Amino acid sequence: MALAEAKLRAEFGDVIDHHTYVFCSDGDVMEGISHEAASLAGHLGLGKLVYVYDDNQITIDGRTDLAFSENVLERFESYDWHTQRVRGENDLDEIDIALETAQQETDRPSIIALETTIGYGSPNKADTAAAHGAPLGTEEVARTKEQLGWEHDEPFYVPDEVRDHMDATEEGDALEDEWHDRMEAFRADSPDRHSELRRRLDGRLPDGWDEDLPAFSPDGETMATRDANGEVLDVLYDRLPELVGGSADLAGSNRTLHDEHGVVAPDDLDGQCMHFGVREHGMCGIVNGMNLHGGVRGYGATFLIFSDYMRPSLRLSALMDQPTVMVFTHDSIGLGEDGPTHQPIEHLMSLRAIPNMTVLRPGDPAEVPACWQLALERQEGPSSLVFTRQDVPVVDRSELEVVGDASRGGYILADAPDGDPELILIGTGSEVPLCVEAREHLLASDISTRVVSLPSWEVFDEQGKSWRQRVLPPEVDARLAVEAGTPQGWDRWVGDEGDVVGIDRFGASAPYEVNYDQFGFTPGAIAERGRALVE
Amino acid sequence: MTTNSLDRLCVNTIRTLSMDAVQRADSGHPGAPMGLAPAAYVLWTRHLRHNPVNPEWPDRDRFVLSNGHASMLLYALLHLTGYEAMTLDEIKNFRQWGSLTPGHPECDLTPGVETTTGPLG
Repeated sequence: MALAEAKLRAEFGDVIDHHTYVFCSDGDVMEGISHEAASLAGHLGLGKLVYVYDDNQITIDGRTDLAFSENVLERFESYDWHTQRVRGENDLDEIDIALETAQQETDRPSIIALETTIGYGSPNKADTAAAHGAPLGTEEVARTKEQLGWEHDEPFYVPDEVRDHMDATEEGDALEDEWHDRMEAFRADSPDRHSELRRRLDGRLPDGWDEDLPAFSPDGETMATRDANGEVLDVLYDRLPELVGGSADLAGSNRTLHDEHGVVAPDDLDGQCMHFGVREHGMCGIVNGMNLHGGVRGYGATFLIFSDYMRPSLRLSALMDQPTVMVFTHDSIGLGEDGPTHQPIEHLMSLRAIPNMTVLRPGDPAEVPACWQLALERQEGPSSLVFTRQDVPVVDRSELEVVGDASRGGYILADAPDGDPELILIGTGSEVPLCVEAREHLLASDISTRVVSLPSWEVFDEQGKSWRQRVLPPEVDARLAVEAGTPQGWDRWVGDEGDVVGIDRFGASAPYEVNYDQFGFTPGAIAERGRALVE
Repeated sequence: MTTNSLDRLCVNTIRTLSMDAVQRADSGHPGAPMGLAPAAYVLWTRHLRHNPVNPEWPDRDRFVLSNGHASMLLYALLHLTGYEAMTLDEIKNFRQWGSLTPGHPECDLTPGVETTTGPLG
């Protein structure tokens, strides 16, 4: 959020100019992501970010010194944060001064370690883990109120003078009015910049943003879908000034290296290209924060295997309906020699298992632009774009009977010659061209075969029953799914009578062609499995 | 500005609302809101630039309660500063089905909640 604010301020001036305040706990500063995010915030010098660290030295198991003895402020100092410690937890003026001091520090983020007492006021539970995650108990509540000098027996009592004093509606309206004045002045001064900012704050894509996306045609050459991604991104950076993102130190591999569009750096926050460093979890949290703030559209990138490192933040983006886009390349055993530590198996399916997550795995370069369009047009949830490391052919559609296209999530890429298939091959990603080739083998054996490309289960699902049944007619139960990942879950599309060419073990370190051959991902092996279904 | 009895009363209102809500729900986290009430009070009344009438105002300060288990702290602040949706009844329905006051703050649900938090970090 603080990064989005700083970027917009760098781009548009003081019409966006606000602080981001964070309250965090001992547990927060123990978690790994706090290191990643704070390290990058310090590097970028986000001076309008202020943490208040609730240093109460209690976590669920007891006192923090059971497992936590580092000097948190020295840690943040080493990240180049401004640090302060406040000891008087009830000294409002001291807290006030610390917050003011933090605001005055504009070149660095600030953290205020505030020494507090968990359960303050409770005679028997204050300063103990017992105050953390359970009600105090009726009697203890009464005694606490007594100790606090609270004179009202009625629960949920709010004194009128408190309500009057804390009500911020009038002041809030005045603050917003003052901002509208600033916006009006901005409009008068720079009408185009003003309408651009307005559009971006409203989260609207500009007219014609997708008109110049590259098309990929079959010319006998092969191309990795990550390379197609790189070409699409190059255009998107031009067309969408709100697009901000990059990779967690794999920009070259992810094909997100477009530094010519400006690198986000401590002294130049105006760029569009982020280098997140080796911080996948932090990256996704930061992208979520940027999207929550609005005015920018954040995305990130890494290898598909490292989706595991950011899963908590991916899950939150789905829970929060945020339009976070993640680019995941090196999407299978097809990445080859790096071996099973780097080869995703369960990852595609586990991303699909996250509610409200859209997974898009284009079957060839030609499907890549449509998948990016789907991801960017989606406003109410995240998308995972999944690309290959290895080259795949651009499928020559000119000789194929194509019904629909990738924008429908699933479509008929190559119909049975008579439109009446006895076997359906369903592929995603790099396995789609293999299915198209396997279809040739099957047609040669007089098996009437349709190939369905299914880049996105979720988008296909949203099309409604009539389209789904047009693509996958219920009466055709000989269905073979082909995906270089866990077969678990594919029964959703292939049913009881169908089969899956998948991988239910870890991969192997070998050239990708060898892996595909060994794991049964060749046109011949796929055709054989298909033949078995109809015989 | 110095601490006066009204300030103390406001801070204690945040504390009592928090412990009452947890008590009624018979679950939740009272301790952190009680400890953080003074800091929250100072931040929200003397520093935070926000508009309870329009929680979507683009140039508002953002407040992130990373320790989302202290959700009652945030709900009490939203109520007391005048966010219309955060009624006292919502606070009485803390952690109940269909309320705007889930166990941990959820931004897609509750106006004024900037981000869903709870899983720490």
